[in-house]
Amino acid sequence: MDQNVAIVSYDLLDYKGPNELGMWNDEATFVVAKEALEKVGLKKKDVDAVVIATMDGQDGITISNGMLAPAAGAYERDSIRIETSTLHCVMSGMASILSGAAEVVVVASSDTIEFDFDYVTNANQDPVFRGPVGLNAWQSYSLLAMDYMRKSKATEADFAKVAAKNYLCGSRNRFAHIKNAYSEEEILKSPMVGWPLRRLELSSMSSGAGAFILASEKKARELTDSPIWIKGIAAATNNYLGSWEELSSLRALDIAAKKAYRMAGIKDPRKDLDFMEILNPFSAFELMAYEALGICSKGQGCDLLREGLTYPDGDLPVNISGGSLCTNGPNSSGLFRVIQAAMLLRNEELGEQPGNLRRGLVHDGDVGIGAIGGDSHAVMILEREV
Amino acid sequence: MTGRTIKKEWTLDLDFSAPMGETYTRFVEGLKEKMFLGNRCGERTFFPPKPFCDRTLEAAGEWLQSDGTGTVEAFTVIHEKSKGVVFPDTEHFPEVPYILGVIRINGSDQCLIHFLSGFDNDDPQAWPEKIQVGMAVRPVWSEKRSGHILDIKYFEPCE
Repeated sequence: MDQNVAIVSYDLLDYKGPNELGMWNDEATFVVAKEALEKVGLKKKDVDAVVIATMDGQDGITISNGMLAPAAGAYERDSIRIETSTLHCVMSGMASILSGAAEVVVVASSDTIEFDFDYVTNANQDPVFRGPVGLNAWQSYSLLAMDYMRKSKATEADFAKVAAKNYLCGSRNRFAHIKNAYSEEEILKSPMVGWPLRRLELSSMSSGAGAFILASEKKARELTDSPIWIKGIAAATNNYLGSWEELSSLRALDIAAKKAYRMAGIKDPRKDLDFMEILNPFSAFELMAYEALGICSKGQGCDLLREGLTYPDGDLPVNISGGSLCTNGPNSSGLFRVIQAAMLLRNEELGEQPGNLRRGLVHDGDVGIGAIGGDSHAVMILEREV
Repeated sequence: MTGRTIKKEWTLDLDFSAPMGETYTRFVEGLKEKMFLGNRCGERTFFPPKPFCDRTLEAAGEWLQSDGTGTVEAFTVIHEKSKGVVFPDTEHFPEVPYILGVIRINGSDQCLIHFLSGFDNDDPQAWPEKIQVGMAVRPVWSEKRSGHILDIKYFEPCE
């Protein structure tokens, strides 16, 4: 990129279960946005634009992000409202900065509202073909997990193993909602929801909030000694009604990753990246994502796991934060990962993490509300200054 | 700040309607006659039909007809009853456990998600072994058809 944009500050609440946060949605958004601004000495008047990620169906309020924008400093300023994906918020914020329209952009989101997940994710389907058969997010995940087992060496035990890895990481992370380090045995004993996925292999709903500040290179250097630079960012979209081969191959993630790698000058992601934080709303997805993100070849995802490569002490740790199985704010899930990645790059304590992390990948998208239909995936490469 | 907070609850009750458009109207009207319609766009064939091809963004053209036989591409056994569905059809909606399948109608370049049933085995634990990817299935039609995807009750094995 010709000009650089950095994350200069952030704030994140400790995530909890639904209805446990004790804050209304504007209150939670305000608390994190205010704190993120104050950490780098910014005031309300310094905010040029606000980008808010929420989804109306999850909030039970139409254009819910419209009422949240002022809580993050949007009064008399631009506010951009994005459905769900935080990396799409980053792209919008960068567009404001790189166009010269803004120097300081607040990206924020909150999860305070508990909703009927099955109903809302069924409403996410079309009313002609898929809605009437009751398809919802968890069922779409089961179809993908089954498909992945048939196309790879992965077994139900591998799915439990990858879930256990995430729970272990989450148990060490003060920001994570679920801090129970469930074992593979406990995961395999949890109730089967949709074969081959069990309850502990599917993410729960979390409440919390997060905000971060994007700034132009000039402004970033004024505000902080430790900017986190955005070195590459890209997104792609899958078909809604497509062939199963397309829908099941995470094609959009593969395309987004390759583009982000090109932007960031990454030739071999397995060697060139120090860690990854990915949206993994179900256990098997993480293994599928290893392949789409190009850190192993097709069907080999479970080998990386079995060899320990993606554990916190492995060569390429994935989800040191505990991932979506431990923390899953439906609106703010991407914000959580971006901020956790920034914290890892600044070597702020999350748990038992390797030191000296220089470059990481964050994945986001809308698979949190269902897969195999028009889902979009985005990939961002973050780097700290050396 | 006292930290005191009360819980607010609310429900949305919303009505929506929309024209189905020419392509989907023709498809669901075909279901009433036990016809599974599709269409073609360039080299790609779609059962069910699409108004356009995503790859080329060209409008779809020629209509095609099928008896609805196809193959299983993927499936899941649903064990946990959904806590809410937007389109409840009490007549046709199966009790858990039931099988949801990804079906490719013969010749189609896109897939359909529908119920699978009629397997010669009452043990849901055995279904994952019993059902094979690639196995041939055909639609089982409802007696009462109203121009709805559930005019097909489910797909069953051809053999």
